Amino acid sequence: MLPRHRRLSGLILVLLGVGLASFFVLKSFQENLLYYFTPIQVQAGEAPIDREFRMGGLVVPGSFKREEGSLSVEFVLTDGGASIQVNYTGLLPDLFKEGQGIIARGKILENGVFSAREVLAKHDENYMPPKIQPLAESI
Amino acid sequence: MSPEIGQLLLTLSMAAAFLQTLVGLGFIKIPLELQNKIIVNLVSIHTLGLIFAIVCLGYSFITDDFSVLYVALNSHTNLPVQYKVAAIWGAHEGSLLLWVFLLSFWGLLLAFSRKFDQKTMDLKIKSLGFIGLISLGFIVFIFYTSNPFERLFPIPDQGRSLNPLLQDPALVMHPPILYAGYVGLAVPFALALASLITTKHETLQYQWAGIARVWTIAPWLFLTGGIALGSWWAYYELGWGGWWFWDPVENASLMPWLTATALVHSLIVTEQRRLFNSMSILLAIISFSLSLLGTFLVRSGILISVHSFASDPTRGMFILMLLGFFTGGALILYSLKLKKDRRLRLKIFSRESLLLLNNVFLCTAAGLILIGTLYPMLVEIFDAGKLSVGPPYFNFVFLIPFLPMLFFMGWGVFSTWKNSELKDLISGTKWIFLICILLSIIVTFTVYNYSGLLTFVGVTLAGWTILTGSIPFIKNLKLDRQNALKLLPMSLAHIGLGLTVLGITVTSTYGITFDKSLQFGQSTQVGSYEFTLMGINDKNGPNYTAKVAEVEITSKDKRIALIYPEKRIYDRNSPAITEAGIESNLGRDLFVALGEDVGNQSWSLHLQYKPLLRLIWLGPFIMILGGLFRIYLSKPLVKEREY
Repeated sequence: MLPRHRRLSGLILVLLGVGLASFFVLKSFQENLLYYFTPIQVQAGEAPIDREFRMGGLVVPGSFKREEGSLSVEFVLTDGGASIQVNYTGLLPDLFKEGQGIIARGKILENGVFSAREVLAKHDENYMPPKIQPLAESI
Repeated sequence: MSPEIGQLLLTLSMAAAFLQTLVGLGFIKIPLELQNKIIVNLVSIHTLGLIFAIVCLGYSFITDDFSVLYVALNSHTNLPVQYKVAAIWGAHEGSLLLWVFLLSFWGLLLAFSRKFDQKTMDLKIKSLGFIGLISLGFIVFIFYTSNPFERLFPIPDQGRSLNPLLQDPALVMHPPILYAGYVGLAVPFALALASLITTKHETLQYQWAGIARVWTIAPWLFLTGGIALGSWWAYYELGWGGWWFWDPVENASLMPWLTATALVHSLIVTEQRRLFNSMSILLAIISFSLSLLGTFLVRSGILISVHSFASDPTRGMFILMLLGFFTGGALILYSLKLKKDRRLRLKIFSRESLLLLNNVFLCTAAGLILIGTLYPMLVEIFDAGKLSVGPPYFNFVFLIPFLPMLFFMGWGVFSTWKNSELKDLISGTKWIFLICILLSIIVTFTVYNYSGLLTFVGVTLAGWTILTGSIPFIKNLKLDRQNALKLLPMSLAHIGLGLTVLGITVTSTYGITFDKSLQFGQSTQVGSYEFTLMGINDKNGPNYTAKVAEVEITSKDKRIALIYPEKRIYDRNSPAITEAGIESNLGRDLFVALGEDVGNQSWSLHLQYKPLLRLIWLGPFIMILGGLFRIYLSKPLVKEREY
């Protein structure tokens, strides 16, 4: 192989690698975009059916129910306009309580119930910014 | 009185920083020797002013002076005294004060460094000028938007206390260490800019690299420590036992770490081979810009919500302006003043090329993280919906540059400057590679069980990084002790990275995590371990009450440990805080977090088995040892003529 040819094939190989890598990056990026919807939008059918998304709202006081002795809970999330029932199995964050704003990640089922895989209390940032508490109190 | 004194001292520092900029950047023409004397004094005043300003703020905290707004928001009479001190940097205003103090302190170290001689003195003075300018920008920022000494009327009887999550020993140390890293990257940044505008000596164009190397390694150490400490804290304090979340705050610290790592390696080439000078300068600019970006993300409130940022954008806009000014200004200077690099045909498998290649990989990794971190904010700013980029994106795309990088790291160590060939590399390392594959087969098939190609590759590359990193040192130990010592920092850093990679691979593949509710006396199997909930008790702490669970862990009917996960309540209004129970050794971590009373005499628990988790933090520790040793090696043997 001539040196020129070797360089050329090297270049093609690199371009191919970069192209392939970019393709996978873009694909992964696309797949892992988590959209956020409010209950009103979900009720209006704006949220995707087959894809996970996040839904935020306030836990309706009195709506929280737990199957005695188990980790399965259900509650209703509202944004003032619409209310969606949420099912979840697992530990709830420390900040979770009725009347509190939370974000749930999961899918919407055909019967209109939101099946959550993760529940985050709003402001439950990994680093909780210290300014948050006074802020939350004022809201 | 003390807040007023603090304010005065801050003003004094501002004036000193202003003069430091003028003198350092040569706006006032004075002879070099005098210029040096003046600037060293100005840097000292600047730093001392800030130290005592912090002391004044600390005094207000310790004396519970709730007439100071910042103290009232972040302290309480029953807060333990060490946390009153830590509360100084517990929130926005104080942490910015710490930020500029650390910046000035790095400047002070640079000012008194003995590594500068007659020829390079000019470089030092100009760098101090740039550091003065950065400091000036941030002190103005403090005065304009975030004055920690602001008074509050009427004076409240009691403060709001420090966020309970922050009342933790690791978190007391975390911000200062991480900030020291962020801010320390201002030094190579300033040195790079100074090298651009220093025209006197042609050789200075390369000499800055030799000086900047230690000044990059030092903040890099702090970044490494800060990131590791933050991850450790998240693991045991946030409750759910994760050690990395790809949270924007974490990303903000990882990105400059990656580019600073690239910078350290690029500087080696610039110093030793007088190549890649433009890349070194660019990496220095990028690293500090990413530090500023991190400061912006953490301090502007944009992460809490873009809308809360938009409703009070003064702080964010100010930092953004500083970011634009310093990054933009530096890039303009770079494009105007950069001297052309030496042109040289590089062999593809020479050490220069391999280091270049890996720097490209490191920067790619940083870039991919940057996209995932900023994209959601940009979308929201332009009102195109609200979304986030999930962790799987980061987990996946990080591997694309990182796996080849780990492989080429090994070859980078075994290659030589200028003229190593592919066949030499292959013949020199093939046995090591085979051993790694063999080890990986043993680990993935027998110790644990085979679970996919990625795990296999991860373990192989971890072994490869460790072995290729340590073999040159071991070989030289017998032949040439002096040379072996010179290789030790590299060896330690590479071994540390290899261990971290091993820990991450094994823990994420073989770790077990689930939630379960248990009745008293009931047990559950986690891997080969049995966890039994013995009971729940009440406990009274100094400023909290807690529910404490007693969990017995047995393996093959032998008791291994009793652990006590807690749920603490600091006061009625704030939510409970989870304190996990952890039993760990180097081989594995067993983790229990207490959930809540779910009725029917059951409590919910979060249970984990994480093999080799500790390696993830042991690795950075070893990297830090390597860096410290490199700094030790660079100390000047004889004190050169005092300037």
